[in-house]
Amino acid sequence: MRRPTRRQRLALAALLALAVVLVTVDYQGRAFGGLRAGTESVFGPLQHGVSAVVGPVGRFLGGIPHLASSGRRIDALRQQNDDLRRQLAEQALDTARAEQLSRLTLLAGLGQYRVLPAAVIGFGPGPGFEWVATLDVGARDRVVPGQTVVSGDGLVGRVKQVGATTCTVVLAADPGSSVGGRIAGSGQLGLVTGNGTAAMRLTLLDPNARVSAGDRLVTGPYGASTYVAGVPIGEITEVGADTGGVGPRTATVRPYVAFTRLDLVGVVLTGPRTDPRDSVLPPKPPR
Amino acid sequence: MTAARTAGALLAVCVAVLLQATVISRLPLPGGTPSLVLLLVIAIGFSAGTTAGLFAGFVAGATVDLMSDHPLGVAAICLALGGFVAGTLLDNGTRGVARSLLLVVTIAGVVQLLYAALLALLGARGGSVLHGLAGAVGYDALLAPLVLPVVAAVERRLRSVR
Repeated sequence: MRRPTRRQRLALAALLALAVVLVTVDYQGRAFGGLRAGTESVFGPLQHGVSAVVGPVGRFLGGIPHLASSGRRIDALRQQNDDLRRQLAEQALDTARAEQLSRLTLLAGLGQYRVLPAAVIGFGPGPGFEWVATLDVGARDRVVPGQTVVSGDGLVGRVKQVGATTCTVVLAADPGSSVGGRIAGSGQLGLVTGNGTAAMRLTLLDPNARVSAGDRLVTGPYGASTYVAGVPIGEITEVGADTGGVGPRTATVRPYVAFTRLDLVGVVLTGPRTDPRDSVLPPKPPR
Repeated sequence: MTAARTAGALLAVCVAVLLQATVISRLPLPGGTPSLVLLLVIAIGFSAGTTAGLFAGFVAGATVDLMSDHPLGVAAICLALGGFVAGTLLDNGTRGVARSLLLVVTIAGVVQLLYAALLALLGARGGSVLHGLAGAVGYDALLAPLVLPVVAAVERRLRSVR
């Protein structure tokens, strides 16, 4: 213990008194704004410099107590991120499905068809280059061979084989598929043949029939065709040369259905009591 | 007190204030923050004597005040007292290390208590100082064995500079 000298005690008293005066003055009226600003302008840049140099170190040191929990947190957030991503993707899929279903319902309502909704679970030009799709409905759902399959856009194909819970559909795009068609308005009959990824082909019964590009086709009676009537098939894009009544008149048809992008379709369980004629066709695009 | 020692003390105070503001106060330590400036003032009083501690404390306190929001002079009172008491109570080398350390921590605790009380009296946020007091004193106890020998060594070196 060093006993403070008289001078030291005096200095202490003087400094404390000065400090008390400073506190009083500053507390009353914030008298040292200039002094504070000066200190700020001296220490401010220095603080910036020191922060820039040691800031990362400080942040790193500060993070050490949380390293374990940070790792857990990162894992949890990653998990959450994955979940949300999947949910988002599923939601987009759900939205697309809902839209397809509503269009299918609209088409079924217009044509008075009783439609069983079904999802395409398998697809592709299978063995023998057949254009077939597998649906997730079967005999249990009262699906029988020969039933027409539609989507919200129009004709998809015809049920060929039925299992207990699945069935195989020959698509209208299959080269072996022939559908009886009728031109909307004029009522000219013809046979629509699939052509794979290329456009479909229409062969008219009457070689002298008047057809033009833009005419629209629905399913119609043709021989022993089991397709329900009135389902939109497609639009004529090009008319073959007039053979003068000698050969058959042909035309190219662009189908309404994108056969490579089938997802939600409907099996027509019961057809309409009366032919819906052209009422199911989408509205004619303005020219 | 020589010019070299005065300059050294001032420089040390500036560095301590800077480090306190930029690094130490930002460490997200649980329980409180160590006060490097306070430890430095106590260490100066401890190694350079009562007068040095008193004036170093006053200058450091005034600088802290000017960089803070509370009225000028609060920290100056506390730190000047701290430096003075440290210089009076601690006699360089005549006490054991453990007892010196205990005294340093006690002074630090009392000074911070006084600081909190004054802030509360003036209506500033004294409660926050009081809240982290125990933690702060604990960290001070950890930091003191690092700060004190360094200050003592530098002080001895500067004393020989004439």
